[in-house]
This record gives sequence, C-alpha cells and structure tokens, in this order.
Amino acid sequence: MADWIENAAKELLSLRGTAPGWSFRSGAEPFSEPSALAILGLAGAGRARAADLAATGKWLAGIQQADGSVGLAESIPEPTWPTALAILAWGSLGGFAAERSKAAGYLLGFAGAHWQKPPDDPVGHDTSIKGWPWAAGTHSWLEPTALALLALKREGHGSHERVREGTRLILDRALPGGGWNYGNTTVLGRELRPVPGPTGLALLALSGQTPRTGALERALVYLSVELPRIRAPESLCWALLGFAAWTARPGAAAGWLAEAHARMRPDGVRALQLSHLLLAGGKDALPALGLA
Amino acid sequence: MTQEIQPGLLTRRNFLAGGALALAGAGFGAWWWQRQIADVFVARAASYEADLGATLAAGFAELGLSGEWLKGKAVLLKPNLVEPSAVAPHINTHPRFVQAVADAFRRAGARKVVVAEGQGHVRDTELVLDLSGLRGILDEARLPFVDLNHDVVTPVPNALGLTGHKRLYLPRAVLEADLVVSLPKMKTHHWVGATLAMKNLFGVLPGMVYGWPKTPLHQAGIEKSILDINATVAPQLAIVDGIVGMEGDGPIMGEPKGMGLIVMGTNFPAVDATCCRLMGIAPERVKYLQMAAGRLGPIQEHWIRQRGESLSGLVKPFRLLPHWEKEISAVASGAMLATG
Repeated sequence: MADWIENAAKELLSLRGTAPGWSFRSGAEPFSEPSALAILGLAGAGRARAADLAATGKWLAGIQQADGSVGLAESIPEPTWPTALAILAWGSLGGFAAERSKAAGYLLGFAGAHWQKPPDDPVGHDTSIKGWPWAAGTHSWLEPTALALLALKREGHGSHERVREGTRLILDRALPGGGWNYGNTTVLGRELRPVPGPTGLALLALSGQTPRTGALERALVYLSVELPRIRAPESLCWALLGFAAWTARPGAAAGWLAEAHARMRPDGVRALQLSHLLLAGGKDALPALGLA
Repeated sequence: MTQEIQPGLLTRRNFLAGGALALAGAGFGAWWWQRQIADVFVARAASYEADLGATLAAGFAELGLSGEWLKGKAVLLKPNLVEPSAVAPHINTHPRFVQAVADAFRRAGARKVVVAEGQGHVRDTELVLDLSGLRGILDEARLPFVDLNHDVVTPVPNALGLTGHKRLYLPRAVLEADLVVSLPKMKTHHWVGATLAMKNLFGVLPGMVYGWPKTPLHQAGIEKSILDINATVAPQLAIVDGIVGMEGDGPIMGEPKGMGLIVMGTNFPAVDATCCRLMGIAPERVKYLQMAAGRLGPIQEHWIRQRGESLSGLVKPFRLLPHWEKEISAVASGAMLATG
C-alpha cells in the first residue's frame, strides 16, 4: 500500500471530525456530495472501518426525502442530483437496501427537460433525448446522466428503458473529435473542446452498456494523450477509472496519483480531492462503483 | 472631480443582509443615486509584463478609492475562468493580471485578498487552475483561492427578482467579503453580445446549486439573470482585462484581440458600456445593458465621466458573429467612435 493512500485516508477521516458527514469547510453543515464521495473513496481504498463509514451512510439516509431523493444538505433539499452518488455510496457499504431502492425509484421517475429542436437550432446535440439534469426542470447534461446510469446499473436497472435512453444520450453527446465535455457538442457550428473528467465518467457509465464503437475509441485515444499530464484529482480519478474500464490501468497511474496527492493545495476543497484520489488509487474502485 | 465613495454608507454585508428590503428602504436612494453618474477609468497597458501596479494605483486614485477606505478590507477577486484550455489562454483573465490586482490591494492595505471562481463549464476547479496557469501565480504570490462551486452556501433575497428566483444561493466567501471585485476578460459573447464585468458575476453562483452550465439561470433569461445577480451581489469594483481580449465566437471559441487596455470603475453598467464602445459595440443595443440602464447605472456617454485615456483613438472594433453584426455593431448603428 502506497504511503500516500494511508496519509490521504487519515486526513480525510480527520476532516469529518465528530460530524456525521463531510462538508466543504471545517465545522460547517455536512453536505451529501463530499460525504458520498468520501465513503466511495475510503471504501474503494479499503482504508476505513465499516462502522465508521456506516455512520455517514446513516446520515445520508437521514436526509433522504420521502420521494427517495437526496438533496445537497439537510437544509438544502434541492437540487437532488446527489441522489445518484448516495446510491453508489450506500451500495459500496453493502447495505441500505431500502434507501437504495427508493432512491433508484426516484431517479427512474426524474428526467431533464427535453424537446424537439427546430432545424436552425444552434446546438448540435439531440435535445429530444431524455437524461438527467443538475436541477429539476432544466435540460439534461452529461455528468448527472452518467452518475444516474452508474447508480441505476448498480441497482440492477441496466436494461431499463431510462438507462437505455441515457446511454443513447451519452453517445449522442460524444464530441466528433473524441471525448466528452459537460454535454454540448457543437454550438453555432463550432465543435467544442473535450474535458478529461466528463470523458472518464462517460466511459464508466457506458461500460457494459454498448459495444466499443468509434466514439469510444476516439475517447480512449484522447485520454491516452491527456492522462499522463493530468494531476488534478477529480479529473485524474474519473479519467483513470473510465480508461481502465475499457482497456487497462496505465502502469504509471500509481505515480500520477502520488504526485497529485503531493501537490494538493492547502486551501483546496481537500475532502473532495482526497476522496477522488483514494477512489482512483484503491484496488476496489470499480467494485465500489458496482462495475466489478 | 472624482466621486468619493462614502465608507459605511451602505456596506455589502448590510446590503445583502437586508436584501430586497434594502432596495425599498432608506438606503436605496443613496445606492441608486450613486449609480446615475459614474466615473470610468481607461488606461493603456501594452502587455502583461508592463507595470500594471502603477496603472491600477492611478485607477484607484481617479475613481476616488482612497487608501484609507481600502485599508483593512477583505477583498474577493473574481476572475473569468469559465473554461480552461492551455491552447487558448485568451479565454480567461490572465494570471499576471490577477496577480497585479491582488498586489495593488495588498499595497493599499487590504486585510485579506482572496481569488475566487465558480466556473461554469468544468467541475474540476484544480484542472481549471492548472490549465489556466493561475495555480502557479497563486503559489508564487501566496494567494488563497476559494472554489465558489463548492462552498457553504446561503440563500439570500433576490434584490430584483426579474428571473422569478425569489432567492439566490451565494457562497460564504462572497458574503464574507467587504469588496467583491469583478476581473472580467474583454470578450464577445455568442448569446448576449459581450461578456464583461456584469456577466462575469455568473461565476459567483455555486455550480452545485445551479449546475455546470448554470442552466436554471440561462433558462430564466441570461439578461435577467445578469441583472438579478449584480443587484443581489452588489459588487463594488470592476477591473477589466482588456490587454488581450477575445473577438468572434466568444466567450470560448473566439480569437485573441490585442487591445492593450485596462478599464476600471465602480459602476458596472458604465464600465461595460465603456468597454462596448471600445469594442465597436453600441451599448444601447446590448439587451442586458438596456435593461441595466436606469436600474443599476448609466450607459449613455453623457452620464459617464471618462477618466484616464480618451476613448477616441482607442476603439478597435471586435469581429462579431454574423447574427450580432447587424444587431449591436456600432458601425451598423451609426454610433461608431473614431477608430484607432
């Protein structure tokens, strides 16, 4: 086990302190995103006692709403995009069956705004495909759709119509030149640029859902070029895991992760960064996401 | 003569605490009238290696921002880092520009200077800092950075309410600042014509609430959102990076445009209107500025007291996308100043 993993896990656990979950600032109210990601990171790295993580799992269950959704925090019930992360976190703990089922039901009934676009519409993607939005009543984007697909696949809904349509959305949003960004392909005829994090998440979400098409090949080529120069934890995490889900983990990955940990800024959102690095560095990362 | 800002007349934190009530109450009169005649300072800056500190100090003086008033303030600098690309540095406010502004506030006695952004397209803030080149400057200058997309947030009353959002969620870092300073890049924008000091404040709203991109605001109307955010956040100063701007398909896919200018002011519509004139855009034809005029400040030339360089001779028309050319071009509207 690399030293940095031990150190990262210790720091991450210390950041929670005596609170039931993790926040963005010391002493502030816990938020669902850092809490779910910390569970995934620590579980993926195998660096925390199950009982310690279960306490945060229970806190997440405590803020789950009657409709099954999980908001940003106890005091901020909307938007509900962290619901998918909560499912993945609960799943990695191996329990919370009732909560997961209820949350999956919520996701299956929740969709982004979609419409038939006119012929002269400035955006290139198919706006009629239903996926998942960041906020209720708004358009579907790449990352919330990918997270929802991962969560629903984990809960056994891989062949559900919503998952099939979400898969179609992700393929439709692939950039012609390779990779994905937040979810726009072309605007006013100009192809936009890919970004490693969303590309990795898209590849993870498509894993097991689609054959290795040209879009996937182009994305893998894009990541093979980008990965050696990424040291930003979140991007490195999703790019590495997405790449590994379709090919193999690059031999240099352990060194990249250690470097990324060593150069973390003291005033960054360290809970999120440590969680991403632990998730990517742990031997159980793909099982933690339900992709064993 | 310059217009002195009265310390304590209406502080940001008092304004935000009062929210919409402040607009309807006694403070509104003073706040509103301060926005009827505005000073805008324009200075030449040949490059990012020039002595920007001297220019910024001159700007503070011309705008009546005395050292006494700046002393002890907690300052939040909001650059424009909407999307990072190592191959297109003209997308973002230049890191050396951010450093020069931070140094200027430190020299003026600011108690604390932080850089903060809640970028709209890329969730990973660390990637944004790496690819924009800002990370190296933060380390070198020991400048703290706050990720506004991931901060503790508080709902505050929407001071205008044009979007229908009764409250806007603001990060704690924004609420804690005495001065919010917008550091936009001088750019065209494919949806609203130009993105300057006012549009840059989209980036103080947290992505975890509004998403990447911030679709609830786009859906409610970008122009309405620009006004709601500016009225609610109540920023105090804009310092525009017009050294190298972006023309054409901005704010992301356009080409660099060398202007060699810095534009500063405490009234944001006046600053944006002045930038538009320098870009060869008729501000009266830019919808968000039409809406801001009279509500948040002046955009007509006769209500803007020009400080520093005269505009004539500095105007270099920006290339506009075809759908904007007829709509907002100063040439098309017959409002063109002498071009440089």
